[in-house]
Amino acid sequence: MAPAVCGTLLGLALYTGSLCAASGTAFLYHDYCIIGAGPSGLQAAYFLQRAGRDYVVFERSHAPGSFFALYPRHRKLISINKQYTGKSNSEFNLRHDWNSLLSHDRRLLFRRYSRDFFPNADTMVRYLEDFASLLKLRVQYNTAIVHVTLERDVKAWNGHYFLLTDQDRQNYKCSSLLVATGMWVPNVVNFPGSEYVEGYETVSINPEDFAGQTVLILGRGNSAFETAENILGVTNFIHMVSRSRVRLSWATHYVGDLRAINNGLLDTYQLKSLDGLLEGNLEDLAIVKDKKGKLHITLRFYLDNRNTSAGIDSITLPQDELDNFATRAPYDRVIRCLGWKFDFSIYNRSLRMMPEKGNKKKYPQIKPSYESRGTRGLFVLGTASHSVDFRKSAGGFIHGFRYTTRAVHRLLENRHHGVPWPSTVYPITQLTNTIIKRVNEASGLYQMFSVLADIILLRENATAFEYLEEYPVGVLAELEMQTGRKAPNGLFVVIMEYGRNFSGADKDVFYYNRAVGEAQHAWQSNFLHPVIYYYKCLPTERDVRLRPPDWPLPRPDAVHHIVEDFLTDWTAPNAHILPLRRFLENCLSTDLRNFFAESCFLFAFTHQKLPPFCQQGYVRMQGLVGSEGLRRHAVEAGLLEDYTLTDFLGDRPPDSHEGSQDQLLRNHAIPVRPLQHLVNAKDEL
Amino acid sequence: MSAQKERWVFSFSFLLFCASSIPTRGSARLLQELSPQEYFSSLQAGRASLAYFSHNDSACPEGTFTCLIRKGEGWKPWWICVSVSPGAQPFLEQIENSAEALQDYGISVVKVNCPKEDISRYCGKENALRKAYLFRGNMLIREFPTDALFDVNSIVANVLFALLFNEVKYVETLADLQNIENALKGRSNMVFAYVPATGTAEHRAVMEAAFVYGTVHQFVLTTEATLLKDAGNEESDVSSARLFFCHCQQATDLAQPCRRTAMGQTLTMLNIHRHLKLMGAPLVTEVAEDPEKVSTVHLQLGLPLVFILSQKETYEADKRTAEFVAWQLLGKAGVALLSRDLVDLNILLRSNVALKTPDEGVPVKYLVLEDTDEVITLVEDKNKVEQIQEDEEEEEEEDEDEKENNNQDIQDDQVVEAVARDKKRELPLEQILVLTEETFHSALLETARTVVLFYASWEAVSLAVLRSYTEVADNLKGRHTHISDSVMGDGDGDDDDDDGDVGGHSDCVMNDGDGDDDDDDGDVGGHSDCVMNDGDGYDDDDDDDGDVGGHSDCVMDAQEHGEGQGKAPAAQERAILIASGANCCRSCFLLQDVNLWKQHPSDRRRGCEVIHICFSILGTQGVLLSQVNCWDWPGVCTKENVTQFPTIKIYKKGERSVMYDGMWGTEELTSFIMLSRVSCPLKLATIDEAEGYLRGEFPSELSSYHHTSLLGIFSTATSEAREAFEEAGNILSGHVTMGTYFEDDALALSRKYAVSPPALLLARSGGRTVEGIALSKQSAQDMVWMIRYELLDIFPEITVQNLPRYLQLGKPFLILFSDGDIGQMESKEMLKLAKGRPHQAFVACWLNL
Repeated sequence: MAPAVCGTLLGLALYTGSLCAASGTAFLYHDYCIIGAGPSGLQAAYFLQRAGRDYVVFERSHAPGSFFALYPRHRKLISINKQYTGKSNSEFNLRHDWNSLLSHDRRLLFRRYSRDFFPNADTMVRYLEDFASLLKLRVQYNTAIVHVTLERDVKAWNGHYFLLTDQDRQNYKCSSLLVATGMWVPNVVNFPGSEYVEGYETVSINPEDFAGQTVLILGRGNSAFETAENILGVTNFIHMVSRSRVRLSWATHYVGDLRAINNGLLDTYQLKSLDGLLEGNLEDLAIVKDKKGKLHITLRFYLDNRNTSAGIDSITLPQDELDNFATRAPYDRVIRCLGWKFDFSIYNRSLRMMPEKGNKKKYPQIKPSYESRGTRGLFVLGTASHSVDFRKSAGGFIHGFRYTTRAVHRLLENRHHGVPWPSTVYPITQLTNTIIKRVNEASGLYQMFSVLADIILLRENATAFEYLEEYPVGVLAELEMQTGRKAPNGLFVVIMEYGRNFSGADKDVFYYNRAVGEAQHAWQSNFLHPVIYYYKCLPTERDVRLRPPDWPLPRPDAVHHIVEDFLTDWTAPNAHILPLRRFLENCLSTDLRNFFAESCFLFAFTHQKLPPFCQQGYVRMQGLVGSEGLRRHAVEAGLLEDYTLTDFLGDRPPDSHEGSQDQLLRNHAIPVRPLQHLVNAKDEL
Repeated sequence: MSAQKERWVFSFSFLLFCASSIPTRGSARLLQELSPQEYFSSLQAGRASLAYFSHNDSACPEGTFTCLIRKGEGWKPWWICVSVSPGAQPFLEQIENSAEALQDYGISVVKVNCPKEDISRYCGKENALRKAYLFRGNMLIREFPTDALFDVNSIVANVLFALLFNEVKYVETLADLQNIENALKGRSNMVFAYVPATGTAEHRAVMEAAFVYGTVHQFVLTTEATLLKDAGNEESDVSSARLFFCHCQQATDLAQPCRRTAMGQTLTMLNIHRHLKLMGAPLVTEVAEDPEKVSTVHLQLGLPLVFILSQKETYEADKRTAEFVAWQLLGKAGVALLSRDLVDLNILLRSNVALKTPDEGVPVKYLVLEDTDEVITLVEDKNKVEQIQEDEEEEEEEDEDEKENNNQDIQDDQVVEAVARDKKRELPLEQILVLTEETFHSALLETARTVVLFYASWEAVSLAVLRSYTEVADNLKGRHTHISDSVMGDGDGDDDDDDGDVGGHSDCVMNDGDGDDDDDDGDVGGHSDCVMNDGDGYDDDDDDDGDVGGHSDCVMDAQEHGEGQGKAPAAQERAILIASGANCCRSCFLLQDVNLWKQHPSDRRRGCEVIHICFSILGTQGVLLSQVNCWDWPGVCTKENVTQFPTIKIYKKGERSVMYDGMWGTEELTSFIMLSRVSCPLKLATIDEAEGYLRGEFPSELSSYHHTSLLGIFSTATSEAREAFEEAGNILSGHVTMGTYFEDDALALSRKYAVSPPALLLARSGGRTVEGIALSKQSAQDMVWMIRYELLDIFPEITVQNLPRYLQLGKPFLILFSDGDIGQMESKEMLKLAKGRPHQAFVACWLNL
């Protein structure tokens, strides 16, 4: 097998200078190695391929997306696949397409694969296969990387190479390692009697197997509820135990929490249809099997001094002391649905791949730039990178990590190939427009709210700006180094946020007046809405570290919320665009209004400095003449001086003018003593 | 003048003899003209008259001194005499107008004509000519400078003010006011008025009121705003007049100021009268009948009446309440005390207050109120409503002020606001093809020239431009110029056959850019408006010209057509075609309906596109106007490198697109599109063409779009300059009309205009003046700059459209401001100036104000 692989990769390997045939320990070299051909691995491969980089993807299975070949067990994806949005904007539509990966190929949109709102997982497998093959991504299948270690070399990009060994002892050498292995090691809890527990990964998915049974499910995530949903109709009853209370995604605004599509058991529990939900620490649990094969719940506490193998009769059950103990009824089956964790096992200690702390311990430790905390040059992509925004944003899901993967790719392009973060330079007159365009259509900002942000770097004198899309705000302080762009004149950060106190497992998200309608109360918006931060200079690392808790960004010099919108359409001239424009104007001390050529003409004679719109448009012979009807509207609104009227009506001054003269006269009517007045009054005629 | 003065001095002596005998009672004229003698003899003791003396008045013959006297009919015999300087006609008019008003107060207005030689006291004084004199009987009360009597209000106010010297006290200090007030305490009430200035309408109203009520109340007038403030009205606006009724008659405590009731309304005679009437009414009326039948002065004056319902047991307390409420409501409503015991009404037992409004037919409202505040609110809220109606105009002004103060959420972007106000209007977009991500590229392939407006449907400037763009489409549709094939070559020398066919001959063209060899043109387009043209430029046998354009109307001769080609459409289809009449687009659609439009009926989708294109080409002369909404199709816009909204690009088949960089105006854009249809520079083949070109007659369809034609003349040898010129032409395409001529006889042309090739001929205003310039600059950029510079006028009128062009020179401006067109003289002088000085120094121009 190894020589065969060698042969096929010879062409690629040759130019790196490493010789395949030299010996058994020879390395096949690639600049980038990606472990895992799941969604994030393929997504990363796509960007590397487009950039013409030397890369390879290792996949242990014979096809991409092996996780989806098995999971979810009941085959229904809970990522939405919206066919219609009423809009044709492809970027906008991605906001409601949670399955597609990013590519230039319109054939690779998920809605061309399935018409189901919640598609079948088999479709995802097929999609990933197509994604890899249509885009001709270089994936090496049947290659399970079993060990990763480092080789120090000062000439290497990061001071070391990554040495990968596959199941056939074939070695690979890479300058940069992208870990896209996902989370596939099932979480197992060990307690007395856990051997009676069936795992989610193997449990039967045929409801008939559960007919007339009493079932206990451990866990309260989507897999637990999905399992319950499947057998809800045939069991005697289902109980569900977990350490913490159930978190509903519509209350937490986190897609990883329990989704409404799976929550049938909540219904039957609250309506007292025998099913139930309990909280308790699984580690305190113990299960004993009686002679009939029924499973009894007891507590580890009771077993401490006894041998579990002793008969059930000798074991204290909670109901012996508390005769209304909730789970006193015996169960036929106990199913474990406790999720998965990252596979830490393949990394050599020198890589210092450490688990995160607390409830994120299933994830490896990474920085906000998705680079491992332990090893430079090792980036974690996809679901495994979710520690950055766990229980907050969508970085653990396809619709989120397709954007963070792109961000990582852009960071790498800058770091290793001198390709700065892509940006566009616009004249300042386009500032409001550019922001409005992005907040209305950008999918990356929308999905990865509070994590990815657009950065607007101002040019000197605020005459122009540079626009960078979807930069990870966690590394805002390193912006210049990470992007190769300079920010000497201040910057805006465009990000999307939910209201600070709106989301949470225990929050009522349907309270009256939950939505804000008026622009002046925009800062109280609860639902996802755009927020623009203004910094006069780039925040330092310390600023970012000391930011207020729950803030995605450090305290800005000014902040503006665009009021939440029921239709997520932020194009209303008065409620959305006008307040935004005023905010930008205040930050920049400039006038960002649009003017008709006529006004610019007037300003040219009366003002020393023209507003940017005139300066960059009219003066460059691109003034906005406007149709007659529009100019008339502007005149009626009192925003444009009317000259045509004076021309037509001869010496009759316009009404407004007359009014002001009257005002003038009134103000100047100074009271005088009557007799003086009679003598001194000025001749008005 | 000194002679006149003497005569005036003299004249006074016999003013006294002026005839009083002239009977004027019943005369139609209120203003009388008298000679000094007549006038002074007419003065009666105790009668007032206002007289003015006039010199050289054309109305009175020289040397005579006529006086016409209209005797006052009022009870106070006063005379007012006025002298007036010649030429003070406006004053005379005002005084004549005031004669009637003064007559009501028994004051006559008299014009005294002084004879030239009169040097009496009045006629002889030069100053006297600018004065009016108020006499009581024959006693001079006061003389007024005529400029104090600027209108009827000021005349009436000032005259009455002088006459009512005792009735209306003028105060300047608070001490004066307090003295008067103290003196009045326990004796009579006082009316205190503040007017910002004398001679105003408010002043007149106060004086007129004083004339009537002067004997009842003491009137006090001031113009000192500080007095108003000291009187406890700090918040009041000193620019508006105020009136207070001071209840001094009942005042017992000398240390306390009299209780005051401010008048809420504006100071007019009527309002003051109303106010004083209300002040005169009893504070609380005691009634003993059904409230429905009660009527008091308040109701008569349009104010509500509040009934405090009382009973024997609580009479004293109720009376005190009623009085308290009455003081609060003074001037706003009347208060009546109604004893329940005396009126047998059930409803009375269930309520404690009743409100009767002055409106007829509105029943009395019975209420149960907790305290006196509620009673007051009840009335005042009602008043508020009335007040709002009364002072609607004022309110509006205030609103505006408020808005200005709080304008954060007021749209101040003229473009956004204008577009917002126009959003309900449906735009006539029929002429503009809407392109999508799917149709964009095929559309570009199918037409020779496509104009694309990239815009965002939410962006105001885009929408403003879209409006102009529809006008462009309309303009182009309106024109039916014939474009000849020879002109329409696009200068690149290749033999694309598209231009000549498209649009030129017919109203509607179906352009089939597929490149297959379908010989459909002859079948369909030849005889109807709907011409189908292979726009591919590849391999058709190009026999379409013969068929195309033969008929310019939309009626198809189906019979002939069918027989000729052997592919007759079904009768029904024919009927549809014919019925479609002159409306080409309709016929195109109908053609599609019957699958006649093409010989490939199966390919419906493409068909739709073609039909669409046909639709928009209609009338736009071979140029397809289209739009892409970047909000819907961001992919296209990104691919086409559109980073700003709006952007207009012109795509020419097989060439790079050109971005429009001119003004966003209908005319500018139309002209650009039309000019860019013709190759730039245009290769002229014959010397006749060249001459015609310079006259602006050739190509004819462009004559209305340009004023100046540029013609480059090159000898066959100077290819380098010619290439640079052609490159410059590419850059300036759409903005400038440029031609080249480099045939063998170019020398003849150059000789005619006294230049040697390579040279540039500049034909302004239809070739009347042709200027020759040697082409010394070799680079295209230099040439572009030179051409732009040469196209500028020496002494232009600066307009909105052309200012930027002159600003780009970066020179100071010398502007002649003119109200209307400038005269020939000025123009000549300025031209001289502009030409004379090295005109690099500044831009001489003029501006029509």
